[in-house]
Amino acid sequence: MNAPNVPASGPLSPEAYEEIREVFEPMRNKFAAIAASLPADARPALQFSVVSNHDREGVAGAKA
Amino acid sequence: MTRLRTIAQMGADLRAKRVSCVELVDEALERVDPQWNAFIKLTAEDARAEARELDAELARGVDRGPLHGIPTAHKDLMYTKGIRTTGGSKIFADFIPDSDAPVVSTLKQAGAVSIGKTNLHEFAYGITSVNPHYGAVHNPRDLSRIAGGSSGGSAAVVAGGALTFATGTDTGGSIRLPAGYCGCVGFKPAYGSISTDGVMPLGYTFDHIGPLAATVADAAISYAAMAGSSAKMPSAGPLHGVRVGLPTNFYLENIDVEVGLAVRRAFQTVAALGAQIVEIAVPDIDSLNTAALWMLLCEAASVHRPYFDRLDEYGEDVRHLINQGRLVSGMDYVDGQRLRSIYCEQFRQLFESIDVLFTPVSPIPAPPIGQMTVDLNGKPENVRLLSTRFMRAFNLTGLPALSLPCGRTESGLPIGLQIAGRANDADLIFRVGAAIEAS
Repeated sequence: MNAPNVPASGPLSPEAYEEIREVFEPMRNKFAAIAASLPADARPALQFSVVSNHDREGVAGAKA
Repeated sequence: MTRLRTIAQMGADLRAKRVSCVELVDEALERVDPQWNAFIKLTAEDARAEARELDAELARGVDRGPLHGIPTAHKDLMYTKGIRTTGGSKIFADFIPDSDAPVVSTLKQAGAVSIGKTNLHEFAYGITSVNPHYGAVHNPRDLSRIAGGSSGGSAAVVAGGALTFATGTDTGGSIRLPAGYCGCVGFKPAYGSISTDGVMPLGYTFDHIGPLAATVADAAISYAAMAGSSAKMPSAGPLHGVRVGLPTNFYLENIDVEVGLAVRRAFQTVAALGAQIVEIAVPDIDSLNTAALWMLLCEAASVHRPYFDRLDEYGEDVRHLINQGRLVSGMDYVDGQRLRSIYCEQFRQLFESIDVLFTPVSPIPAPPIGQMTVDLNGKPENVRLLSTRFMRAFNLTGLPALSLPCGRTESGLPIGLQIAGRANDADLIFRVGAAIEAS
């Protein structure tokens, strides 16, 4: 089964995509099949976005 | 080498003046075996200086509590003021934070003395702790095997007997798996129990902070300190009235024979202590794992987005994961969160029928360093996916879970038991764990 409307390689170079294709595509398809079973009234688990106490800068805030 | 004393025993020795804080630090440093490659940086002189101050405080009658003068170490993902914090990466090889992560400062305030920063899987994004920049962490039980990850260095120093506890992070099993593979205790508390501020993120909604510890009591004490609360010592008494879930699907399927036997013995142990064993069907964990991984790929790609032009400086495995995450659509991510709400509700209902759930930490004991696939019951399995399949649900749901030793293979490798429970039931989880540990 192919997931609809998923770009073949997205923002990656063809070489980079080829490195992950074998792992990525089966997982993408598996997720698409699971998501297809979602009931229409299922809402996202918003509590995980509002209780997060992370440093919003995180890695991006560190000086590389 | 003799077994390290517990936190409580060290505390008693300190207060009876049988040992000093400086001596505890020196003892810890002497116990570190370089073959483990558990540290990215040792901070021996800083530790001795802090220990001298803590000795002086005790002499003046100032007692900071159970962790006063107790040596520890921090996973090198935690910001430490003035001390290099690499995240196990080349990208941050020279990064020196100007402040401590709250969990670091909280432990320092409680009197714990850090002897260094522990090695880990690069950016905590993996389960082997075979680090391309700082070398592989070796399992102290068998140096040819992985310590597990990503908190592999913290697990090695604790399981190897150098420290009573060290800090770790857990996004998909990164505390519990190395604890299980190395043979120590690891606790992933409920989501949000310990601040993740000042800790390099991996997956914003999956990251947890917690201790790796030598005993269940050490885990309870150090967890309480990390969370800024008072420790409640777990008692190892009878378990009458405690309902222990025995999964009838998924968690005891397709596992190593010796792992299965050890975990089943744990059920017998708690039954003998009066616990009620309740056979129970768990949600579709295979689908849950897929959804959790899919969301984590996306979150981790977001974290690392500023460095997409430096991916050649990452290890190959982490680079591949980040590139996968770049391809997860926004719609998929939202659908993942919708699935998450369903799984959370299913687990809420599950814990109406039981108080704790027992599972193996991993279907297999620690594999050899460099082995990417393992043959399990005649089928080749990816080591990473196999190792984390029993733990990820508790990162997705945010429920607390403890990993503790429950036996060994014939070849001497540790086998880990996972005990999960309701969000506010850490004390019960520790109590059940202490009972198993004492038996």
